[in-house]
Amino acid sequence: MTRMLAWIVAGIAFILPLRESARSQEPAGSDTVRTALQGAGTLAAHAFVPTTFIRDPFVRTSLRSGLGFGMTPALTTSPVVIDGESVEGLEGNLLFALMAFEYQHAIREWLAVRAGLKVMGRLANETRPLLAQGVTLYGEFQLGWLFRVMQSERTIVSASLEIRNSSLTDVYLQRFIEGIIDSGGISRGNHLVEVTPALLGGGGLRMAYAFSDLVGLTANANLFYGESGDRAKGDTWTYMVMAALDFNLFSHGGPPLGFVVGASTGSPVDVPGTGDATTQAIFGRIGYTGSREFALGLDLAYDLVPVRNAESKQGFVSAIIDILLYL
Amino acid sequence: MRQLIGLSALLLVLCAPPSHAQSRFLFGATGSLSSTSVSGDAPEDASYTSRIGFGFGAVAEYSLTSDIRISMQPSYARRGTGVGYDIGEEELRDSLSLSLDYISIPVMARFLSAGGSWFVNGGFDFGILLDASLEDVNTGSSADVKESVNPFDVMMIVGVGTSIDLNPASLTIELRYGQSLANAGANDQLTAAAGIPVRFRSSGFQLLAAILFPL
Repeated sequence: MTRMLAWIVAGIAFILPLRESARSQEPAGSDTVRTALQGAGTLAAHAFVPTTFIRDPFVRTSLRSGLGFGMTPALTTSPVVIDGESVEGLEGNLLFALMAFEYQHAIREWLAVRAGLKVMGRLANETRPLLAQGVTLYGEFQLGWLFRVMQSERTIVSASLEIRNSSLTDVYLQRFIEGIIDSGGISRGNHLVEVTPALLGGGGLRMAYAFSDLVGLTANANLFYGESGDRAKGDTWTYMVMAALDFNLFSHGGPPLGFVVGASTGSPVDVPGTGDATTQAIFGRIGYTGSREFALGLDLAYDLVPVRNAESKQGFVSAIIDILLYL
Repeated sequence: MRQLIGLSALLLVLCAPPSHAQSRFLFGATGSLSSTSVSGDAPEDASYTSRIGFGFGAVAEYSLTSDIRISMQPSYARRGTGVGYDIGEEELRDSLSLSLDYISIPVMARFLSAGGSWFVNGGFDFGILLDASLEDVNTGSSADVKESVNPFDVMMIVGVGTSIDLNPASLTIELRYGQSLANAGANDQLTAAAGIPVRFRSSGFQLLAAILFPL
């Protein structure tokens, strides 16, 4: 808790002078720089609809917050067997909550520095999934840079470079109970709670293309190298690619509404016991696009994620309220 | 031939006449206070705690443009961590103190605001290990653990600061965050001696003050 408070205080101390700095960087009497660094990313009269699931390539100053909730609508895991006895009970669901903040500061029209904080907690609502899946808390701090590589009338491409410092707290009840039974008591090496920090460094490419004033395409490809949450794997490469089409009715002269539909695929989950299966997701958004000061939307996703003690990937549905302020 | 062309181009850039009245080269001195700790795998029933460190050194800056500078700050820096053990009390009890002394060479790009009063830094800090010691806080005994720590370190650094004009000098004050990208542990000797796993690395904040003079 103390460390989190320190981060929040440091974040405020970081953001306040930067915001002042952004204002002081504007040449007197010029609105050009301000227009370029602020507001929704626009190409060929199409204002792109942002979503929390894919990062756009526009270099600008913004503050983002997301608050979400998710669950498995139909969890199918293997029977939980402890000491030869099958644990009876309902299949239940896995539930998770997400909170995320991100600040990006445009230092120049072509360069921005960004920092982000993400916290996600996962638990279960019945005995069987609680024993088999446990409770996990994931925290991640991101720090990085965004460079605009090229821009034309309809296309923009940016490159990102960042580090991700994360920590996974895993309360794995089944492993703990089995350890007690195997050793006849609580032994020193049998932990109820395992905390695994991981540091990754890497980067990616982000692009956006405007088909018309109504339709745009955004795509990301990210590659990272670093520690795995599963220490048995050692250092590993991880990747994530995603693409989305967005439809902004407001840019087309319609009501201030925007829609996004997209998909992503990436490396296996970094949790011990989840295997090597990759993750996939389809996602979408419905949002308000009528303001140059902010974007507000409801992001929805269906993820296919491998979980431990399950033969097949499990489907997660999630909903996130995403607020993006253009500073 | 390519090397010659590259060297000539570099000399051309470095020796180009300044496009503004101010000198392209600035030199000075810097001092810092830091609160560093270690992130990574913690010893059994223990957590890493932060340590106050210090540093001092020289600063050399070169103005690429009127608002972008390349800054190099070779300095001595002490980083470290405490290892606090869970002994059943409300707070962890510090039992070990690891001190890592480096020759630190941050190489950064400095982006100045229009008036030059604020700036944002970003770059890498290359560290050469001078000394590493592990102290038992309770007994006061200390052991040299330099052989157990990697001799080189690379940190990613980001900072924000302000510059105060003291014509002709300038005083800068900066808050900087650094995160090591490489594991500090070189082998499992620290694990055997003190239970500290190999996977640990420095991170923390630095408050720096520097005075710069145009050349």
